[in-house]
Amino acid sequence: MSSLTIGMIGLGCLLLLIALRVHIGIALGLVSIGGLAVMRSPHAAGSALASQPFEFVAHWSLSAIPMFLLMGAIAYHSGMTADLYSAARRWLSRLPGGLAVATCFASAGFAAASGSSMATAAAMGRLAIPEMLKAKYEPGLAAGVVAASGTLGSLIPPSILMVLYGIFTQQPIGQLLIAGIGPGILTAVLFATMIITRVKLNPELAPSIQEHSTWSERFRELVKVWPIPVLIAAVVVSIYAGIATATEAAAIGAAAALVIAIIRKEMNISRLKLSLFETLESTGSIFFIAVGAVLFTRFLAFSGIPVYLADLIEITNLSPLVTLMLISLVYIFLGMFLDPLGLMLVTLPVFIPVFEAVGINMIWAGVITIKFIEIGLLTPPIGLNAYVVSGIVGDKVPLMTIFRGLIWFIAVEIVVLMLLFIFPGISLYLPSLMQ
Amino acid sequence: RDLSYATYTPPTSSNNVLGMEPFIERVEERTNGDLTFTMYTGGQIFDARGTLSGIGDGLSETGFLVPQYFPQEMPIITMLTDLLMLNEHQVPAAGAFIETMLVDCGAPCMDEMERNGINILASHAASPYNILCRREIASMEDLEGLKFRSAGDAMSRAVQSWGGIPVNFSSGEIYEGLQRGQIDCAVAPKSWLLLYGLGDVVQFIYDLPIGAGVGMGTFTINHDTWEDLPRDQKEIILTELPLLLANVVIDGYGGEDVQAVAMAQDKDITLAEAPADLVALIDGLRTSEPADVAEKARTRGVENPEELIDAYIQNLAEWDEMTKDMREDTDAYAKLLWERVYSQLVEDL
Amino acid sequence: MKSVDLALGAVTRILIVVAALAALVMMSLVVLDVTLRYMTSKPLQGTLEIASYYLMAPLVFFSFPFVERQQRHVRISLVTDLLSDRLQRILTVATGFLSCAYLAFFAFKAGEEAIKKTGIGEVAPSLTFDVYIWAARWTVPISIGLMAVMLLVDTLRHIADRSEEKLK
Ligand code: NA
Ligand code: NA
Repeated sequence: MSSLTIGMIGLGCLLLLIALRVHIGIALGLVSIGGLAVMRSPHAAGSALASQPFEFVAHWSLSAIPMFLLMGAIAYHSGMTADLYSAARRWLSRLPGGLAVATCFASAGFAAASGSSMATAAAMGRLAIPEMLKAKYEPGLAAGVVAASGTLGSLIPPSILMVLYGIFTQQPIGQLLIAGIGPGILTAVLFATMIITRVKLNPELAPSIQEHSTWSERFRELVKVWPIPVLIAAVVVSIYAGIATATEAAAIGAAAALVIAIIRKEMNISRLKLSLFETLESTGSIFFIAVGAVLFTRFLAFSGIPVYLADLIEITNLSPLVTLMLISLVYIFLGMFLDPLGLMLVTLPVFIPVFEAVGINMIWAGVITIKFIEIGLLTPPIGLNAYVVSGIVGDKVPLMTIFRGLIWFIAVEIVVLMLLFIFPGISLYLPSLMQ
Repeated sequence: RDLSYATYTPPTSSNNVLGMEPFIERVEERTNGDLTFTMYTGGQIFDARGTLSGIGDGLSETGFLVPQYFPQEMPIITMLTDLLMLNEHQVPAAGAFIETMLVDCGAPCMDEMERNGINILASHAASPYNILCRREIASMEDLEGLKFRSAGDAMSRAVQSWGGIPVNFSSGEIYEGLQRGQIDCAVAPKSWLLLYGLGDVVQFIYDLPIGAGVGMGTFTINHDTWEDLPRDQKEIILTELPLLLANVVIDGYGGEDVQAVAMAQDKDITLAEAPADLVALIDGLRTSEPADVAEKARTRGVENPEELIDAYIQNLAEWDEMTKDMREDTDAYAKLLWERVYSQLVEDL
Repeated sequence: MKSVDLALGAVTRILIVVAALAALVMMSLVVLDVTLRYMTSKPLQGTLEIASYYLMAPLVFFSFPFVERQQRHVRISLVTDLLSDRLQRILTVATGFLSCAYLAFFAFKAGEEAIKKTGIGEVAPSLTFDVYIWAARWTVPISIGLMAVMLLVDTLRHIADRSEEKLK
């Protein structure tokens, strides 16, 4: 049996196991280990299981995820988010889906402090989703907006994935990072437009506040909202002032949230315990899947499916735009199953030559590649940002509702991709100023 | 037979493009396609920390191994890599290292590899570390209190000795660290101007070789896989390895340094001489380094470390002399590697 | 059955408290390191290694059994909801055993690795000193092993429930 066949069977088994309610992390691990045992050897498969999960988890840059989750949990349990969102409801009562729109732009702002999409979704999810649910927003919309706008974390600098792309393709990292800003803002604006339109057509998605608020009420609320803006500012400033790195900023955010809560006399031992346990619950469910996803990357790489798909494109010998469209299909297919890093690792080695062969600007290709990876974070069955959000909301919003809510955002992502294809200037204008 | 080659280095890195890919082609051609390789670049199979068990347990049959991560697993070989401060250029360093490990050390090193299920058949050296900074260093006083991104304890002790603060940043964070001023300098090869995009954020390069990383297992093979290969295929691999190393060390790292200097001139980055007292200080460190390394190796259970360290120092001096005229001559260097090291390995097959 | 359940609960509780402490220490350590680096010329050494091995590993792995106990590991019940009760139960038991087997193998392999690394005294070379990391390796077999036992107990309970129903 060829590796390719084993790879296809593996994808089928994965879908089957997931459909049979096996833990996603176990389904990924089972298929990977079984596949590696057949393709390599049982000993090799066992070895991967013995060491790789530990080596993956014991990684400094991943510490941003639990730290941002902790920041959000403390902010929630000490009432900071409630105050902010009740003020936001009064101020944004005229804007259809105001809280979702605000969340979307807050994510874009937060992305300027966070280097990873999952960390951004983790932080914003804990801050925003419970409040939107309290305001009776449709759960799919509330969860979807966080999972989707969390992907801005990798597009707007700093960005771990963008740096990695630069190292892989030997492109100037500075220009790459700048190139993500335009597409990032465009995405946020189009997400907001989509939300406003949908809520206008169907106000039940996001009921606006009924009672009329006076200006004095509005300003009275405003006095109480300072903690969250100060918190986000603390995180962003610590990076841009050169005090902390993007990874360290997460721990600073958590500490800042704790300090603000203590100053406001809103923190006690039981709230701290609650925040910690909740953080660990989300961290555990996210990383259990991520560990499986790492193993699955090894399996898929050895199966040769990515190389096979890339070869199909190369032999067709088409125009750059058509090639790019075909590459999109490959990315969307593989993105269904792989985590962001895994998707980048298995696709770039095979696609860099394709990009170069058709003469695509490699910075532009970088932005588009990041976009592909972001879409993969949102698509079932393995959509890690959907899982991050699910890890935060737990049983309150079923996973399928989250994926259903994300359909709208994926549709917008595809529109954004088209715009990026047709107007390279959206990505390349800012970097061109650097030269 | 098809063997996998797994490396965490990027697909476009010169190790792969200039070294491994042509090597694989030559081996495939000379074995008439009986022995082929499939490359997995960029950490698809394992990252740097996973290289030892990854190759040792046969997750990949061959690959790029970084011994520096495994001091307890391979105390003798990592003792040799710890001597990096003695290396002022990658060409003699790579030759001296491979000769010391595969010829002088002999049985103890072979045992160490076999215990871990691997054979390191070729190891390269990288270009020397320099100081890349955002600001000017006119005198030793300017170094006081500056934050240096460094890696490994030899480099960090060096940083501390001149009054700097060693800071541990992952390679992906260096660009933004320098850009935003979380760090002032990086102890890094010039080629990082290109590789990590530091050309945009660095203003001064002090052209002072502080040491060169050595012993990176460019071609490492699973022990059993190697034992199972027919003799003629082993011979073909061993005769092609000298050129692989020459390609990586001279065309790859040497070429990148040339490109980096061109980029520095292009971007008006100042290439400056280091202050004289800094040069003297580093020379001083170099003399005390072997004793420190020997002491550390002893705590890791290496018996009589001085003997092998002396052999390395001796080899390094000889290679320094022998390669004076071939720092840019790939073929001559490959030939020398063949004569001093690989011809003996073929005889011992 | 009940005492097994209590024991599992107690171990899970201990692990999650360790994980919570790891989270708090991580936050404090990083803030301290950044402060010292920014304000003084004497930053902490080894923060990156300690945070990676001694804090991330327990924080993440010790959370796994806790999440399992809360039944919060992500799964999709879209398809199984369409099946008959009987079929659902058979599938639950079958996939339960399969998952158990995987976790047990995982724990066994990670345990072997931990023993090996303990034997050699595994270190991570940091900037100025060696950080012994072998102890952190044990977080994996402990957590995954515990999860395997929990799943086994769960699956056996499913079978027991079924036979009780039959008796009725
Ligand atoms: Na970002
Ligand atoms: Na996906």
